Amino acid sequence: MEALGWVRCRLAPLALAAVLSFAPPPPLAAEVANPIDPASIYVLAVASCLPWRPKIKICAPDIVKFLDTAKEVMGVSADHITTLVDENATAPAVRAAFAKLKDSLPRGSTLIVYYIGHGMLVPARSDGGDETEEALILWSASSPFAAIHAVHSGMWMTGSELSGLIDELPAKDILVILDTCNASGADDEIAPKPARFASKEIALIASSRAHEIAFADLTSAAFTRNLLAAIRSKPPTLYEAFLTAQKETSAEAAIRCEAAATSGAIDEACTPQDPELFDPLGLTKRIELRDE
Amino acid sequence: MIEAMFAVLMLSTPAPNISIPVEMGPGDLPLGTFCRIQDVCVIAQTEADCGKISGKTFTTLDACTSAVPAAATQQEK
Repeated sequence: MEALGWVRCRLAPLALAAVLSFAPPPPLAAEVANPIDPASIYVLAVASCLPWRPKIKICAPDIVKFLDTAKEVMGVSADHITTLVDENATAPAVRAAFAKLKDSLPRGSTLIVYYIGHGMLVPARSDGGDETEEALILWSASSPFAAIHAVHSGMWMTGSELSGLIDELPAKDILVILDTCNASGADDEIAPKPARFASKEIALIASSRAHEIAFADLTSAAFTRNLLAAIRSKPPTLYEAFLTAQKETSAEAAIRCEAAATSGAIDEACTPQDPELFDPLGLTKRIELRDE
Repeated sequence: MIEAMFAVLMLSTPAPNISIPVEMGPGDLPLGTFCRIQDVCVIAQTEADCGKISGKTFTTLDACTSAVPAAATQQEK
C-alpha cells in the first residue's frame, strides 16, 4: 500500500510534465466495455399492420429499413434473421417462431425482438403489479369482437406471454424493441426482474409510455424512423442512438399532436410520445454501431 | 377448466371502425368486459350489454370465475 502511494506520488509530476510538453492527442472513440459480438446477434422482426385498420401501412417498409440497418450498422448476419410481416404475423406464427428459436439459438447468443404494429392496454390477468399490461395486436383478417376476447382466445399476445416465451430461450442477452401504442405497458413483464439476472440480460426499448399514442405517417412509424436515423449516424452504441431517437420522437410527436388536436383529427385527449428505455444492466451500451 | 367456463357472447355488432391515420392503436375496438351470468362467465362488449342479460361485470377472468355464484349467495341468505 505504501509502495503504491510512492509510485503514485513520484509519477504524478512526470505525468504533468508529459501533458505540458506535447499537444493533446485527438480524442479516441470511447471503448465499449464487453461489446456483443455481432456474429452472435439474431433478430426476430414482427410487423403487424391490420386489414381492419387500413390507413396504417408502414409495416413492410419499416421492417425492411430496420433489417437493412441491423445488417449494415450492427453487423447482423442475414441468415440470423426471422421475419414475420402482416398476414404472416399472426399470434400462432409468432409462437412457432419462438419455438424454432428455442431449438436453434446458440446458448449465450443475443436476440433482438423487434415489433412494429398496433398495441393496446388490457387488464392484467394476474393479481398484483400493474392493473393493465400491453397486448400486441397481431395480425387477423377481421376485427375481433372485443379486445379481451382477442387476448383470451390467443389472437393477440400480451407482454406476459412474450416474457414467458423469452424466458424459454437459450439466448443470454435479449433486447425487445416495441414500436406501438402504450409500449411501456409491457415493462413489468419484459424488463428484468431480479430472479432473471443470473441467466439472462433483458432490456426493453419502448416507443411510447403506457397510455400514450405511438405515431406513424404514411411512410414510417415516427420512433422507428428516428431510431434508424440515429443508428445510421453511428454513435458508439445503441444506447446513444436511443437517446437521440427519444429526443427527436418526443419533439416530433408534440408538434404532431398539437396540430392534430387543433384540426380535430384526434378527438380524445392527445398525449405526446415519449420513448423509454428499461435497461438496468446496460445491454444497449454493449451493442456497437459501425460500418459492416 | 378455463375453456369450460369460457364462452363468447356477441350481444351487439362491433362498433364502426373509425380510423385515425396517425395512431398505432386498435381504433374504436371495444375493450370488452367479463360478464357473469349465474355460474358462467362470458365476454360482453360493454357493461351495458352485460346488464341487458342481468349479468355482473368483472375486469378479469379470474375475478369473474372466482366470484360467488348468485344462487349460492341466495341460499346463504
